[in-house]
Amino acid sequence: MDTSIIVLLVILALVALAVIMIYNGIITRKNAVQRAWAGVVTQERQKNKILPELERIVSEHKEFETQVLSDITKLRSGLTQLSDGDINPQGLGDIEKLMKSVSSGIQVTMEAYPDLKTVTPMTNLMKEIAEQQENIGAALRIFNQNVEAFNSGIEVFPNNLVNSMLNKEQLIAVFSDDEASAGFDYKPNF
Amino acid sequence: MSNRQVKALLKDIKRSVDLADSKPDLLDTVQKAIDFGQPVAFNYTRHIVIAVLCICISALLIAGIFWRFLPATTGIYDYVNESLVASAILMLMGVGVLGYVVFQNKKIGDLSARIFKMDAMLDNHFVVAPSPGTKSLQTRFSDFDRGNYSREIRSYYHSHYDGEEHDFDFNYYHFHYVNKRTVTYTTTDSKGRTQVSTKTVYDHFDRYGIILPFTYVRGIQIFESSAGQHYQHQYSAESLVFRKRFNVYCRDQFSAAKFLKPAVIVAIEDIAGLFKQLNIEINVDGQMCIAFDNADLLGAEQSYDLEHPQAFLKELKGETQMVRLNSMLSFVHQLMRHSDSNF
Repeated sequence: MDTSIIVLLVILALVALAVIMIYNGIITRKNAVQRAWAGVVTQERQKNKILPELERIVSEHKEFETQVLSDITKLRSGLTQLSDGDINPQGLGDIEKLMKSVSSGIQVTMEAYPDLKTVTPMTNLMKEIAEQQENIGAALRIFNQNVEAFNSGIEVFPNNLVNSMLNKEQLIAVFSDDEASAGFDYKPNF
Repeated sequence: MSNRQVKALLKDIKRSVDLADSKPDLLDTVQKAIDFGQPVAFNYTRHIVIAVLCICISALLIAGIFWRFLPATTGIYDYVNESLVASAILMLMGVGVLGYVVFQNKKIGDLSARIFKMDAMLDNHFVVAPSPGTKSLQTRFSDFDRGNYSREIRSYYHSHYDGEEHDFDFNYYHFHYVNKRTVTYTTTDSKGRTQVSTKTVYDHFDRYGIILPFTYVRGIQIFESSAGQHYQHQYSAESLVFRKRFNVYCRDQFSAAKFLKPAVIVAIEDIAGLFKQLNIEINVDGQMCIAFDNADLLGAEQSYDLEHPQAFLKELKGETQMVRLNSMLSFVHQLMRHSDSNF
């Protein structure tokens, strides 16, 4: 066989290998994003472990405002609507807002009525809520890291060519805290 | 004050430091420097002047050889040889005297560093502990499964951490190991003949780490640096950053998934930014070993020394913070907090 044909075949084989690797890389990163989102949802659903107990304590103690109880109810129904499959940062943001409202409602009442701290499961519940929130924050960081890797993976050259021809994936929006970012005057221009 | 008096003082302080085993003992040693009444520093101005003169004369002699005599072709070699010998002697004398001055001054710095280190160890409740031996550690943790020639524990300390929610005892170790390998190389002699030879090379390495009880999960290895794999299952965390850096081997994937909560993964990613080749292993006996390459876990920032005894004493009286150690221990505390049950 002619040397130039051999060289051409080797180059074609290398290009095909590179395309396969890029194609598989995009799929791997997409799956990692989906898994990270499932991780966020799982952490959110951990709240179901504590909500019944929280609901009981809040309804038994008149010191808590009725708004807290109503927020807990809304939180429970919001959690049932969260899906592992659909990446829905907006729905998650709404749940997080409700959780913040519940936490601050409880915190304000406990500061006003320090005796409530002696209610046995209350301190543990507050500790559990703090840890859960930490885990949700961490799960969101992991989700955003994976989204960044995925988005870069379909935008950089030559991955963008492989994606436009084969994978046909779209950019995924990162999760951002609208309430927190509303507090800044600075808005990034991207 | 003469240099002889400074030397005697340093000798006295060194003797006291050798015997010191508590904070007041150490502070007393520095008090001796304050009572000395003068800055603890050698005065070697005369030595330095002589050394510089020697080096300058030596340089001038060499310059003279090159500029004046080298272009001539005959009758100068005896002169050149004598000048070169004289120049070399002067240069050696000059460098020798400067070396002596540096060596003497270094003694003050070294003694100060020793006092500071002892104080930092006392502040952080470290005491020397009997080493369990490399064989015992090797059976317990994979990170000690290194070194095909020799292994030794060079230091082993015990201390305690009081966290907001958890208190724990821990041991710090310095592990040194040597790998032996044979290298083949070729040499060519003056006649152009090549010869293949072999030589034995010994590569020296150090690992550092902490060992503590951790009973919330058992049988898991989170390795950045390659070490022996003890468990057959592999676990893949959801974070791509984590996956790129660490391999997770476990006894069962369910325990690994339960332990590696998002907050734990993020905490490991963050601490890995501070430590090189980080390996975390929790064995089946509920013992945790966190190993890394950084030698400065017990390091602290020293601002003064015996040359400024008042300021040095004040510095020693305060609590010395070991920044890296604190980061490591709060990381462990965070792992415990996320692994325990709140109910």
